Amino acid sequence: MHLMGRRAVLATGIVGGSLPIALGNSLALPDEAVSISFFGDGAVQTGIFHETLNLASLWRARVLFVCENNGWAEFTSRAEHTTVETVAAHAQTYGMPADTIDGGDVLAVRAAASRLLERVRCGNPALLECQITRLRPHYEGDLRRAADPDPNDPLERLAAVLTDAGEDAATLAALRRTATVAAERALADALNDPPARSDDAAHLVFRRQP
Amino acid sequence: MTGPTLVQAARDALGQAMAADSAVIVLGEDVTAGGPFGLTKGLVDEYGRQRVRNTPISEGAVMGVAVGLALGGAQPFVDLMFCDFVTAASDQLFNHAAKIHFMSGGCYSVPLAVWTVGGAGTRWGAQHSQRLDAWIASVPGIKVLAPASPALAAASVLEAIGDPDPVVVFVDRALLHSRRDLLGDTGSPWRSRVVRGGTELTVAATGRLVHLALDAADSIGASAEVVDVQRLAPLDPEPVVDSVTRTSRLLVLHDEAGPGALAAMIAAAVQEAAFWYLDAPIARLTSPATPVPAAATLEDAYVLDADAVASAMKQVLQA
Repeated sequence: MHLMGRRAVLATGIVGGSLPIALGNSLALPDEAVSISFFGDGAVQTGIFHETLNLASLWRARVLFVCENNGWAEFTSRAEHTTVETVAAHAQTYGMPADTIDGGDVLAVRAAASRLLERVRCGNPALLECQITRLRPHYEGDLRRAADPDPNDPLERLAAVLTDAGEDAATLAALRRTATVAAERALADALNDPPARSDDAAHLVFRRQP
Repeated sequence: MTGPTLVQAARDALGQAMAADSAVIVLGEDVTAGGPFGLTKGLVDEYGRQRVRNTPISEGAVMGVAVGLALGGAQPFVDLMFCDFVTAASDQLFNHAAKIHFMSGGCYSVPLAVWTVGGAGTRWGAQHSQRLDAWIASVPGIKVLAPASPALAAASVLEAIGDPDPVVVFVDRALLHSRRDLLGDTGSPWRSRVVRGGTELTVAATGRLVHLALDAADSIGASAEVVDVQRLAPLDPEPVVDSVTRTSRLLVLHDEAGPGALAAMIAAAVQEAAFWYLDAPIARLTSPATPVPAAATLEDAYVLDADAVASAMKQVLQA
């Protein structure tokens, strides 16, 4: 939530808020491009989810909706949010191709996404439901849910698959090191950024001051 | 008065903007049919259904789609039929369109134009008659223009489409079919403006109340200076302040339920900047603090009319 980047990446603090924005963005893209919208299962109970799926289907928009269904929205389980068994069931209502897969299996995610993206590029918006477990608490510092090592951690599972396939331990360790260094560098860069100037807030309200 | 009506002028401006820039896309309920007031009449024939997009009654998603279009490089123009429906679109307008430039540190801007109509007097009930311009204007990151003449409505549409930020053009339903020109119609929609010179009293008004103020000043023979406060956000009260330094008296009119947020903001701006010029307390005139009633007698009592304005002007002159 709240992340913004210089490339076309937009997160929002409002659950479900990015779905119609992804749809609108897809309409502005060149023909060969698609928009991919990521959201959690908590967003599925919002009205905007249903408005957006209806509109995407109606307009044959090139959008892949990816739901990371970890069974929890904030501190309440999915069973207490809805009686609908799978998120993909909603796609049927709007005539969208959909798939429900093991979201902890990286290769399965890649295969399903590739399959659905072929449909999306032909003007059939699609929904991919990735069922996963929650690896971390709802927010950092949430003491009600300890961050135990999770057997479904997708990176650990992928490492095991690669090891079984004969990848050597040194290569995997090097990959981990590269990723860790990149993350640490990004954190250090952010911490080293100068603090905001006192007039930044007023200047950022508008691109063009009236 | 042989020129176009306000809505015809706005429609022509919208057509002009679509002809000039293929990135301009119109979205809204019934837009291919021309909309309830004819704002988009004929546009689909000229520009097709990809650029004049009819939508279901899904104001939230439509506003969100417009935000996404804007972020992707298009210039969306949303016809939000009645301003009452901003409630359904408010998350996308207030939490997204208004904040993305700010929250992205200026990486993204949202060039979004929204047209909406509000105001009482036609028996359409509490959910199709209110004015929520003060609510929209209270959210930083949204510009609000409220034109009072055909020429300024056209200019507001063009400016809203050309602006890099979200702009809501808020129009009085009572003015949609008005052809009445005002003094200073060739000026900018971004500045409030004097539409009648006077020395005894300043009247600050917006939309149809500008016309009522002009008529009332004529009917009672008052030397009233009438200021059209057409930029509601960020509020532009400076011409009102400037006028009060010359007239020393102020009446603020605004079509909104009492106690009247925009009327209070204008009064506060003058109090802060020109208190020592005042010879009488600032007076405000708004509708009562109720939803807009549909019952004929009650709605007629709710809507400010020329008599109420004339009477308020007399009171301020005698205070």
